[in-house]
Amino acid sequence: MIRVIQLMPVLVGLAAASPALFAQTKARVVVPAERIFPMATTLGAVTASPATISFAATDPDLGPFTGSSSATVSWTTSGGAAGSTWTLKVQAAAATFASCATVPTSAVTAMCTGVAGGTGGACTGGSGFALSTAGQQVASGKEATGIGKSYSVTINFTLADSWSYIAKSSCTLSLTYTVTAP
Amino acid sequence: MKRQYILALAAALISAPASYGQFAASGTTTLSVTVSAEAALSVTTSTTTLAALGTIFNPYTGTTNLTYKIRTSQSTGTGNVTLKVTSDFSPANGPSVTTPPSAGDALTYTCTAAAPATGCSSATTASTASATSVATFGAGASSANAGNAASTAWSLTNDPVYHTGSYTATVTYTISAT
Repeated sequence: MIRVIQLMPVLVGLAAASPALFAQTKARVVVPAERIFPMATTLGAVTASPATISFAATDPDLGPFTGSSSATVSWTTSGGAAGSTWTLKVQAAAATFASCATVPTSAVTAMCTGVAGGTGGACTGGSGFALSTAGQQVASGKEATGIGKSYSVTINFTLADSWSYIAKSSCTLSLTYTVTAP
Repeated sequence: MKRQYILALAAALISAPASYGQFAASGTTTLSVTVSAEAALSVTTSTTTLAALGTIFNPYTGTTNLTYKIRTSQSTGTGNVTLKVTSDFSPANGPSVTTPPSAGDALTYTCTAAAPATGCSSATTASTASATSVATFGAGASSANAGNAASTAWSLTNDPVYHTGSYTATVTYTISAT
């Protein structure tokens, strides 16, 4: 009996001082809308095929020469959001072809011819644009939702031949494709 | 304690928005070009009339203009422009490249050629048997896209034995590059 008399005031006292301990206590964080950020899209490796595209500049008077193949740039996304836009850019490593300083990077015209994957994918650059050392947008579109969603962009390249080029074989130019997805 | 933990985590997420920036990935392609040695020319004076001017029996003279385009290989390339009389003067009884009517009769020419060409250095006798040089090019030569100028200035002996009349010959120019 003595024990009971001693416990009761303690329980009553706790209930009066901290009613929250006895209510439904679930943590609640209020974050302003402008501070909410969606989860980022995860990009898979960007690959370009084939690894090398060749041109045979045989006669400047015959007009531009088409590359040996189109380039297909491919990648995947996971966790994409339907409202988010991806972009693909291309950028040359130098202002002229390596070992061929007379052949400018701007002699190559890139033209996007097809976009697959996601929704609303579209080429940019119209009838093509001259390559440069600055990143230039090739295509864009909306992301696909889900895991491992595939995308590909097809690009044709043409080379404007010129009599001002010094004849030489194995002139090379490295292009970097960059995919950005929010 | 649990409540305090959740609040702390939320605070960390809110204060570090940069960790939610855009993701980017990249790939590469190599463009490779082989620029071939190439040459072309255009004879802009399709018919060159040789005329004797001034003192009597002065040589018949005239000029043929050309436009050449060329690019030669970087370290070992060469190029040249040549001409050859591919059809001798006709009709007969006039001048002849193959069988001049008199000793010393000849169809000769001098050359001018804009860089990177080097024109022939002295008067050259044209031939029906072999091509003769008009201009030469060294390694790593390239012309303007619109072409560069060259010309041959002709001189044909004015031999009194030629019968009066009009005579025609054909000269073929050839350009090559390596």
